[in-house]
Amino acid sequence: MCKRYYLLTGIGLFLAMMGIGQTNLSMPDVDAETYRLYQQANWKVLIEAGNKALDNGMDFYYLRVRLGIAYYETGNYHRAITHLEKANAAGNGDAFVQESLFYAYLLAGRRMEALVLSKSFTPEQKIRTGTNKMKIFRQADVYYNINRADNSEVIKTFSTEDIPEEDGRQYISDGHRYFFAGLSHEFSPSFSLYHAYTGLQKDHFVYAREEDIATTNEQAHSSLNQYYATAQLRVARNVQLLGGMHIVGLKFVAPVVTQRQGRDVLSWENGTASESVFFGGISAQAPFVSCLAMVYSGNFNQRKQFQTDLLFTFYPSGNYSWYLVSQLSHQTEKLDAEKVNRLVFEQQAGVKLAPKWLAEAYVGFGDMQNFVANQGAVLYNTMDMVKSRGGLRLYFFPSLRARLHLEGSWLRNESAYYPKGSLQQSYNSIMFNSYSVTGGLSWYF
Amino acid sequence: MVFLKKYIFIWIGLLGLTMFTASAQDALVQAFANSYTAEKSKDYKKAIAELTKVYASDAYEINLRLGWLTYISGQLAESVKYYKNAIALKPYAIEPKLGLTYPLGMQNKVDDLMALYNRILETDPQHTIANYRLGYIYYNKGQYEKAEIYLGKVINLYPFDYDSLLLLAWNNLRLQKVKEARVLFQKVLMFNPGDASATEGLRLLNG
Repeated sequence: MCKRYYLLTGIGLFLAMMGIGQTNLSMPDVDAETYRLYQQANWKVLIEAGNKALDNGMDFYYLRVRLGIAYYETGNYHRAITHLEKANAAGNGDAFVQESLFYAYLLAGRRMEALVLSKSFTPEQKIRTGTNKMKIFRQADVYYNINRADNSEVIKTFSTEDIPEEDGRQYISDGHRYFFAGLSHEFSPSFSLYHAYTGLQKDHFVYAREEDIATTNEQAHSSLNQYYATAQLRVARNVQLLGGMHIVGLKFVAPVVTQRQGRDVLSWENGTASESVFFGGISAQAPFVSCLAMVYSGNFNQRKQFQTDLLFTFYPSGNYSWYLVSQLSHQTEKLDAEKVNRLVFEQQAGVKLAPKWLAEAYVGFGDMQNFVANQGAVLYNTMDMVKSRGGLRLYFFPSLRARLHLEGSWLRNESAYYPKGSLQQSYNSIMFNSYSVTGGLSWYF
Repeated sequence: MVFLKKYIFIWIGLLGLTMFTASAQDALVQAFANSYTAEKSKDYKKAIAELTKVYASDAYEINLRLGWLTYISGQLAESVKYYKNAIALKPYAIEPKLGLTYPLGMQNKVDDLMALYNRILETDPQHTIANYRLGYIYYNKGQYEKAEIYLGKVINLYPFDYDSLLLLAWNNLRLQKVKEARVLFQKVLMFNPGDASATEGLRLLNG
């Protein structure tokens, strides 16, 4: 503590006291005034005085340090980073400045920058900040989700009047449940990997028409085994590349035409298939904003998808007290010579409710079919098209190591009959809602 | 007659040169006077401009003053440049080196500052400010043995100086020199009864 005091007293102040005070805008006076405010922990006035000095061309190491600490103490980690980065670049490996910048990065959600900075720490600093060993196991997540569709009336009154006499299918989702387990690894300060397994069980109503024979299955069931992996590589300060894949192995029942006593009949037989999406992207962070651009190439339901996402996150207070996330996605889906283009927009808002509570609310609009969300982690690969969705997430942090997650969401779905080989034509549109509840725990090692 | 003419020309030439030099000197003095007036009225731009009008790169005094004026107006790179010019013009002078510590200190250029104080000590090994600040830098770097050398010199010259007593007391505490630290903290209390830092130091020693 004594050392920290002396460090911030600084040679600058010592010299300033020897200088002659001339004006509010003279270098020695700015130094003395901002130091006085620093000692008094008068952060707001220090921020005003410091910024006024910067506007008047006064820019020196100790001013950046004091401004950085003032912003840090008032919770504006983005501004704190700006000033502490400048001080750190100009300084001589001052431990106090380095560690303040380290924690500002962490609290702003830029863990990779913090880890890269920690490479220049002394062994004592590394022990103090817990960066003396890379965490091969950094984080573990487990989630369970139940989805129920409000479709009993829809299925009861299902009619084929509007369906043409062409082979095809119509699915009406009847809900699903999944278990998710993920692990994140830090192999180096600049490289991390997250991978996860999802086991998903789906129920649906299916109307199928095959070689002019129509049939329904009200209790069709599919099971999916999914593996998701995404890697992140820091390529420059506040810039990272992302890349990964999501592989899906499906077991399902499908209608097959068979001969029974000289007649063609449709029977339901088990089938398997695999689907996948590969993706890459780039993310960058700047004061008060971060952006992410992603591209995805997938094959779901015998169609090919190419999707691009552009996502902006705004932190008006320079922290997580509240933030806004806007995402625009464009998807091109192809089936043989047919092609459709779709746009999806999602808006999310997060707010810190109390010291250990964070809430996020989101709404999304567009045609989400064979759609990839959350940087490849979530797949909308049923034939129901999600037209809009909304939800509320609640995070609770009982300790620094744990995070509990509870989420409720609502989806507005559209089921339609798709003739075989057709992408643009659809019939018998049916709208229905479904509701999901997700609960989970994340553990930070 | 020709001889007389020649002398008249020389005399006129010398008179002209003297008048010109006096006039240039007057202009220089006036520029400094204007610069002081402008500085007093907090108009640093004008204070700098007055001297820039008469600037000569080999003029020690102008470089020294411009070093100070650019420093207080926040132009640290310019300040360093002028102070370095002054040092180059008078390599043994201590005042431009002390001046240069202003902009370097503001930028926390610790290595440069140490080199500068060592240069001062080459000229004047007993220089109190240079010794104290080197001791102070080594203390902050955690190099307490080195700090002790420089702070010890200051205490020998100024045995009852508050800042030096306090810093050397803390330095001794870091070096586990309990007896010496206690004596120094008590001297600080003699200088400033109830001093918070000395009281804290003694509490640590007694604890």
